[in-house]
Amino acid sequence: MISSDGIRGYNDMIILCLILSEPSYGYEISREIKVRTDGNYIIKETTLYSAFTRLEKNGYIESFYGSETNGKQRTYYRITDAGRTYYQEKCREWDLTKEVVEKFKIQEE
Amino acid sequence: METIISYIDNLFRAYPDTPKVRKARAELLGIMEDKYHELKAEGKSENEAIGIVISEFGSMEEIAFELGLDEEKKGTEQTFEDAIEKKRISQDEAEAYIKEEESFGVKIGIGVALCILSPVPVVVAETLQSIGLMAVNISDTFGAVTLFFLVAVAVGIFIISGISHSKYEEYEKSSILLDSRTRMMLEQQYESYHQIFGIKVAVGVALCILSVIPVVLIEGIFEHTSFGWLSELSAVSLFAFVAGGVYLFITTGMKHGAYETLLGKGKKRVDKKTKKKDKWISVVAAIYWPIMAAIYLSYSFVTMDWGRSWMIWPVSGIIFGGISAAMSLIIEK
Repeated sequence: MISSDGIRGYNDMIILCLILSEPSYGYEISREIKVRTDGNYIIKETTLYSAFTRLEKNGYIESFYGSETNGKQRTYYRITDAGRTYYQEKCREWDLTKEVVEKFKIQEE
Repeated sequence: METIISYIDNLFRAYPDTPKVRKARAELLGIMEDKYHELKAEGKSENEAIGIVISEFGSMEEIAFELGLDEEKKGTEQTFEDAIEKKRISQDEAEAYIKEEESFGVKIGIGVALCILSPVPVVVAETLQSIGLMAVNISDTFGAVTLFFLVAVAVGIFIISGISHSKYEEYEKSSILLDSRTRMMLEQQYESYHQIFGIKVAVGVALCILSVIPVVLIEGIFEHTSFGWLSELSAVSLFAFVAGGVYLFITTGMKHGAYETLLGKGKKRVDKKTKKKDKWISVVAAIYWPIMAAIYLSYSFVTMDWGRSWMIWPVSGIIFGGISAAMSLIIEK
């Protein structure tokens, strides 16, 4: 399990990635993160919701009400074009970050 | 699920009820609900599911920060602070205020002491009558008249000193701004006065406790002698001790309070419960004390037993203490 501090700068990228192909809603995104990382990263609800608010404010995602399922109406999030651009930026930033951090990792035998 | 809802409700209680906050609450609850149902579907027990959901919730600070609620939460406090008027006070004004509070304390102390001592002439007259130095009708009248006279003087002092004091009322209501030199000076004075305050309060308490000793002693020694009238007179010393003690409490408390007002110490933020409690106790007091006064006056005038009827006051005081304590307990729950 990784610390939420370490990954803080990349929550936006993770969330955007999961709605690249189709819109999704809070819990589905949270579950997908857990599944894809084999439970190594479990995003906190508050982290997830703050990210949604931030991303929406910056115009990277849009929210809309999905159709009712089991008597429950969920808020779905859809990526915008600005969001896609931002996602690409974050990917490049990550490549660079990875490269930089890697330089300070002493390889074990 | 109830547990989770009340958990969320508790966390959100500190924040203002705005559309933004309501939305955040609903969304977070929605995610938690989904997670909870999935965990249950996976075969987790109720407690396990709740435990996991709550442990993975995160922190409200994060939400507050993102929604700008940090400022809003503080914002409401700020406006509360702003509602309290800020008052800039110079060194001269501060010194004048402390002097004024000191003399106000002396006046109130004298007034209260007079009220406490007001039954003394009654007791003295009663005693003189019992040893045949005063006729019954004269002693009763003398006692009652002086009692009312003393109380009237005390009330006069309260009213007059209260009026001249009212100009300082805003000091107590507003938060006070002092320049740093004045503040330091006052802090020093407050520090050194603190000790005197402690000593005077201790002496006052001692006087109140010791007040019964002369009564018990005189009663024990002279009860069945020809000086039996002395034991009747011993009540006078009881009043004197208590009056002295209370005078000390009031005078020293006023001065101490003046420092605290200026330095903004001991200005506790009153919470809702305390407010409610104070309100209820003052309602009961407003009914209780006039009833007691009515009982006292009608009993005294009907029986003319002024020598003993004053006892209603200490007794009703203790009962009132009991009533307010019981009410605090009930409201606290």
